[in-house]
Amino acid sequence: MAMLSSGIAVAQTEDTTEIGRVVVSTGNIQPTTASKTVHNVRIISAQSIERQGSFNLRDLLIKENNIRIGNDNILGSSLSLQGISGQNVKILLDGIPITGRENGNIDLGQINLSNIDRVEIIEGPLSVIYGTDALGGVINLVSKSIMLDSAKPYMTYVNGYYESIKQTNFGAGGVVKVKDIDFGASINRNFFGGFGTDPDSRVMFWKPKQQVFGNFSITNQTGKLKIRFKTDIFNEKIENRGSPIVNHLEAYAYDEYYLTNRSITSLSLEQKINKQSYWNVLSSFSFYQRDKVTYRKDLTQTSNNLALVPSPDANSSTSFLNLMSRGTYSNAYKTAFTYQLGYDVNINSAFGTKIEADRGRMNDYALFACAEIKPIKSLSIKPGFRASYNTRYAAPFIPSIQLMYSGIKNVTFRYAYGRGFRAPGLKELYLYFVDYNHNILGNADLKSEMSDNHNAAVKFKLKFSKKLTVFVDNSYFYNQIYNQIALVATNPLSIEYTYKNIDRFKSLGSNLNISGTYKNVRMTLGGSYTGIYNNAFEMIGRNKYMYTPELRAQVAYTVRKGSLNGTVFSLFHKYNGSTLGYALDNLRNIVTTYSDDFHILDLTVNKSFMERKLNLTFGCKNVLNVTTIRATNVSNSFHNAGSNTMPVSVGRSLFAQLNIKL
Amino acid sequence: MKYTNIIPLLLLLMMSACFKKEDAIVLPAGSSEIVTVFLGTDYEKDMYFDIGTNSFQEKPSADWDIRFQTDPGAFGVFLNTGNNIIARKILVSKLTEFNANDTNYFRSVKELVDAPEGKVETSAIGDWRNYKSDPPDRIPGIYVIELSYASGTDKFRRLQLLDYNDTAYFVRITSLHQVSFDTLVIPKDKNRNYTYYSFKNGGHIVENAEPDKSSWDLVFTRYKHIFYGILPGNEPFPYRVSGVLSSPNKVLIARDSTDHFNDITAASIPDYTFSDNLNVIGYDWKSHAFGAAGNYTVNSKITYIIRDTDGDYYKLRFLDFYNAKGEKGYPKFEFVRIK
Repeated sequence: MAMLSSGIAVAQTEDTTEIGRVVVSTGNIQPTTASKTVHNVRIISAQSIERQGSFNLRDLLIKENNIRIGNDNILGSSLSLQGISGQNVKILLDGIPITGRENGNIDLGQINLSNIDRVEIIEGPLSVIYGTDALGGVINLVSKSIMLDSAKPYMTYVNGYYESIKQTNFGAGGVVKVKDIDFGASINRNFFGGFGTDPDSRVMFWKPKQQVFGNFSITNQTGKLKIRFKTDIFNEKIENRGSPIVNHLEAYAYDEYYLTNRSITSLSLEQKINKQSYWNVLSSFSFYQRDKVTYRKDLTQTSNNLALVPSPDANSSTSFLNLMSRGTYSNAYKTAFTYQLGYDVNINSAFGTKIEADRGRMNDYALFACAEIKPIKSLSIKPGFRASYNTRYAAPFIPSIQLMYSGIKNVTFRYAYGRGFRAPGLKELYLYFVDYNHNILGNADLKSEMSDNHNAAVKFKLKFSKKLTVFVDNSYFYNQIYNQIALVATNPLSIEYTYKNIDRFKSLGSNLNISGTYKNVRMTLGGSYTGIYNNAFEMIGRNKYMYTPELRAQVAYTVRKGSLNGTVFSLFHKYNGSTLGYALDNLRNIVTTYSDDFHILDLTVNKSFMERKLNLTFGCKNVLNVTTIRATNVSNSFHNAGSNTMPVSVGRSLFAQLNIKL
Repeated sequence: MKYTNIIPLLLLLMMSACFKKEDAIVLPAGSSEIVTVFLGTDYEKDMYFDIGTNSFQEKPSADWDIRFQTDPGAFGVFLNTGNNIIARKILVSKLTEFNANDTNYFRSVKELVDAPEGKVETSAIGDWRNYKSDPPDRIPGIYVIELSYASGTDKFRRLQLLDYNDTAYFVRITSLHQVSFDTLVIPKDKNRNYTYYSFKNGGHIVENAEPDKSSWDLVFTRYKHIFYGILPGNEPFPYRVSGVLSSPNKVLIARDSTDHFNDITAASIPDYTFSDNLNVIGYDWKSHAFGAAGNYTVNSKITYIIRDTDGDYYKLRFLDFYNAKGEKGYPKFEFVRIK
């Protein structure tokens, strides 16, 4: 379904303030414009991504409201959405779930944006269509789909990016049309040289990292049938150099390498049967592998100096396989009644040194149905459900309902209720992690985590004059997650742990977003206030929500005359309020968690040359030079006395980005 | 500007961005001893180290529950915090005032744990003499000891400290079920820093739980460190760590994290402030890496200056926590006599 949009040409707008014209493909019965979708959806267009100089998803989302980014120097960047942790947020590439969650999260730094047409963020569950993990929300990345006409049957593009924190990216690609078939291919390499506070030390907090992204696609559209075959590959190497151990007899260090491979191969078929109905089938094969390898490096030599450390702790490998097929049949039977029927099959396997019996398998077969009923023109009701069978646990029945009312001029009301779920991961079911510091066993009897989500939103379009229209968007959300899976000590005197469905989590909050354009200035101002509640708080008698505020401002000024005509000066600002909470650590001790507030401020200048063939962006990221904030969290509690800081960013940097289309 | 000219420039940029190669290190000169010690698969051994003879003696760490200081005037009683032994002070005047029915009450009383410095003032039991001699209400030193390894009501022992002199302690130790009890004499073992006592098998003194006190300076063991700033309200949070404690027998230690190990000589000694706290070396010469790597890193920038039981001065620093196979629990350290 997500693929449908790519075949239907819709003018791409320059900015999200004109969101009404941007197509939304996630979770809709038909690709539809954002103002018509019953979901409350945020869209970030390629132009906006380009103006921000964001080359990966982490860089982009760090400036979005209601999203918090966590950083781990090995696991990468994770997110929370509406206060809900990233393991409950599904990340899709063209509708295909991205596999490879480490500690429940997809590393946002592994998701490259150079071939992305837009990013769609939907808060609230879309479990009816997307199944597991979609209980907090869905982030769908829609690839650029360049359809050539026979007048100019080829196109190439090159992009380069340099940032003063030793980040160098380079990419190139092209599309060529042979007869009726479009062949596309691209390659990107992102390299980060690493960064540490001590420039003389071989140990760097921010690890050097090389990422290679490849992409190949074949697209054919003859008549009403569109076929697209696509492969995306990703390879990452992280180098974690250990501190040198030097004495008069020897000099060595333990160096770790984290190697990640991911590939997603998909075949998409979509066909318009007639004016009112169409079908599509999206099938994919995804593979993810992450290896950790540790070497003892002899620092007295420069070659032949690596010896593999044989301990099982030092070397591990995990891989995930996913076969997915999702098909839908949509019928706009009458304007007042549209329906969609679909199936979703997922076959998952996990292998690894830490998976019990070295193997875990889980198959999921689901049927879903949605309808959109319009009893009157201005009211849209969209009920849906998903019924599934899972080979490993009792899969829940998932209902949802969404309402949209636009009967008052320039005002739109939306309400959505959805149930979401997260299947216990293969690790939680089958983990076998026993050594002399750990004894963690998976629990094959786990139930899925369940959630109830309510979202209500109202949008106003205020037209003050011909030159000034202001959009005001106010939304409220309430989430409850129960049966949340937590690590529990099975024997308090030893180190034996397993996973159990014991925790309850709630979050609620409100967002306000105001955007408008006046003359050469486009401005978006937003704020959110999010509270989270965890039943761990009850154990210490604190039965209240912990709130945190956020503010976001984006201002763009476009020069309309003179030699700088078309130049866009932009400001991107996000304020993350301080957070306070209580959580249980791995030993189920209560720890306070807090983090200080901080600002992210980026300033950029963007200009196109030569009929938009060449686009140059430069600017300063993290102008306020926020590197770490005072914080504690569960993972860095008392094991790290003195390290009560949380990394935010490498620091202030200057960047330049050049995109060329030929 | 011709945009095709930019492409070679971009290619050049790409080529320059690669993982950095390193130069080879030239080993420094030195003559220190380099030692690796194995702490057991579950840190079940206490490894006593004599720096003068570079030799280890090994003792099981869980053989005893409480220990009594042995110097003639000493009265301190300490817990085996490395084996999670806990004390609670019970405000009664007679041992018979509480019994097996009161275990829920015990659990509501604050847990006491020895601070790692090894001083009476900061120990769980503390200066129990005050309780004994406070007229007119003579409140005796009555404690409940909770044993981590036992279960049910057998988890608890009643302990009453009655008196002490230069050669012995006079105590009562009973289970929760006993109704009559004798006074037990615990002699001060002059050859050791402490007399060790175990509640197991009806209770007994553990001979030889510690090597002869003149034959060791440092012990690799598990003990509880007390952390602050983790629990709400800055409540103390005792947490078991593995580390190094020093002998209370005349050993003094100073810590230097600014000067390099190789630069510290006998001439530096007067500049240091030496301490007789047992945990100057402690546990934090190693740290657990933040994030997913989850490995231990040793801080080789800290040098410990040690005056041993014989009055000689040494400098010592840690190098590694892994053996060559990459298994943890193998501290490696170097030391050299400086005076």
